[in-house]
Amino acid sequence: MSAETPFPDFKLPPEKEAALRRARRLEWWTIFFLLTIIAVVGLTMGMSQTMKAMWVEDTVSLIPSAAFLLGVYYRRKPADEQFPYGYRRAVLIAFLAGSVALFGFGLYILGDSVYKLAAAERPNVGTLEIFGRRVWLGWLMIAALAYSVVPPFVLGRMKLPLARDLHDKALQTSATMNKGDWLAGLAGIAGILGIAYGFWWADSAAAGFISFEIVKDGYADLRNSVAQLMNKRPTDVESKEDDPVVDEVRTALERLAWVREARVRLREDGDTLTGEAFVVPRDEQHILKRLAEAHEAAHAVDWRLHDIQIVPVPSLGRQQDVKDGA
Amino acid sequence: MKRRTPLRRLVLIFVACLLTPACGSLPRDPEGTLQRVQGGRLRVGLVENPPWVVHTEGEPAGAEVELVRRFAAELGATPEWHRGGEQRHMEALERFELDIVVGGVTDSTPWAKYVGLTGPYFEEGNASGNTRRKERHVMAVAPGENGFLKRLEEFLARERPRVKELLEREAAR
Repeated sequence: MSAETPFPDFKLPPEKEAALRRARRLEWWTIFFLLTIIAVVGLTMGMSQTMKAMWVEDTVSLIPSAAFLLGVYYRRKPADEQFPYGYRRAVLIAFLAGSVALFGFGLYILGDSVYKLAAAERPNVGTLEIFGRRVWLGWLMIAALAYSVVPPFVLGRMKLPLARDLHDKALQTSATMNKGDWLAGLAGIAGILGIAYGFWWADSAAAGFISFEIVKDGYADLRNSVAQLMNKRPTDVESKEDDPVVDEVRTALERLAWVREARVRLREDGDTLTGEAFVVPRDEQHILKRLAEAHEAAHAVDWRLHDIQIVPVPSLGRQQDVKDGA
Repeated sequence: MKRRTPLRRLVLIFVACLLTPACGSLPRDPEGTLQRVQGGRLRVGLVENPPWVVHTEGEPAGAEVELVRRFAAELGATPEWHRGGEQRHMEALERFELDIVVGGVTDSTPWAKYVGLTGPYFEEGNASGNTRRKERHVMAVAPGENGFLKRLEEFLARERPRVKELLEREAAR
């Protein structure tokens, strides 16, 4: 075996490299700030349901950031004999595990909050001595929550354009998570202020709202990670609309004079797109040269395309007939 | 970034709030315990547990009874003593039929889930002489009455240095 990689390797365009470096730096900062937030919220948690929900929210929001960094690390590992398709999909496993955790914890807190509301359990929030003065813990909770709002607000907003630029769903998820973080922080402040003004139900209500957000995030992530594991067709970075790249590759191939028709099948491999293109040649002349030409034409459509197999076939067969209703 | 302005305003309001006396009246009690008690009656549940609560022929005695007496005086309230068992008293507290329950309650009480507890105001080695696991004494209040709880904790923090003296006086009787 030579030291060379046995299978083709993906190289990020140089202008994207800078964006990726920036994204990685932002994620490290996110993890750093989240750890400080988890510590501060944990210290002031007390008996408040809201604070419990916030603490869980902040802890699980480490997952998308960690998944992104892990993904970037594995992405760079070249394919080898044992893993001939490379390591790009490794991060999907972390992502699936993370979304299950998010979904599960969210359901638990949601159930707990609804139960506490129904049972009319009232939160007791006492005092703490700081520099010889008795301070109501609620004010400390609000201070902790106010702190927890700022870093995710700023970092999340910085990540969004990078996620679009890099077409990176892991980065997009972590930015969405940050948005959930600061929204939940504001809801939490409302909950604690509610306790301060004597509305005991405000605590569990705010916690319910926060956990509902967690469940929503968890469900969306779960759907996405399962879809990617099942090789769903590429979608845009927000996983909302179909990515036009599939049709673009087909059009590019059909524009070649020797191609009668083409059919393209793509899937997402982290940030790259990979798959097969079936082409029906008009005749079999210069087939090797033509395939190399098709290979180049297909890859030129988008920077994310990687390792597309061009497969010459006599006809597109039944699959195409079914789809076209012919 | 336009969106950052309201956030900054919120922080400002919060800081201003911390400094003004208006926030001093917070937290409020959902059932208005503190307001009702001031200049009114303070309904106290007593669970006999010397030297904390001692039943006598006349007025009740004990270190915690004395503490509650001082607290009531501070609020301009008249203490109303109710003698009885812990179970009955704690359940009454849960239903807001009492304002405070004393009787050597520690922070490891299983009632912690159902009523409000003050922070520990006195610590001692436990009965079996195990000094590693301390008994931390607390008082029980109605659940979620955070304004009343805060006032009581402030009082206990001030009385803290005098608890030992109270206990010695009790032991000498």
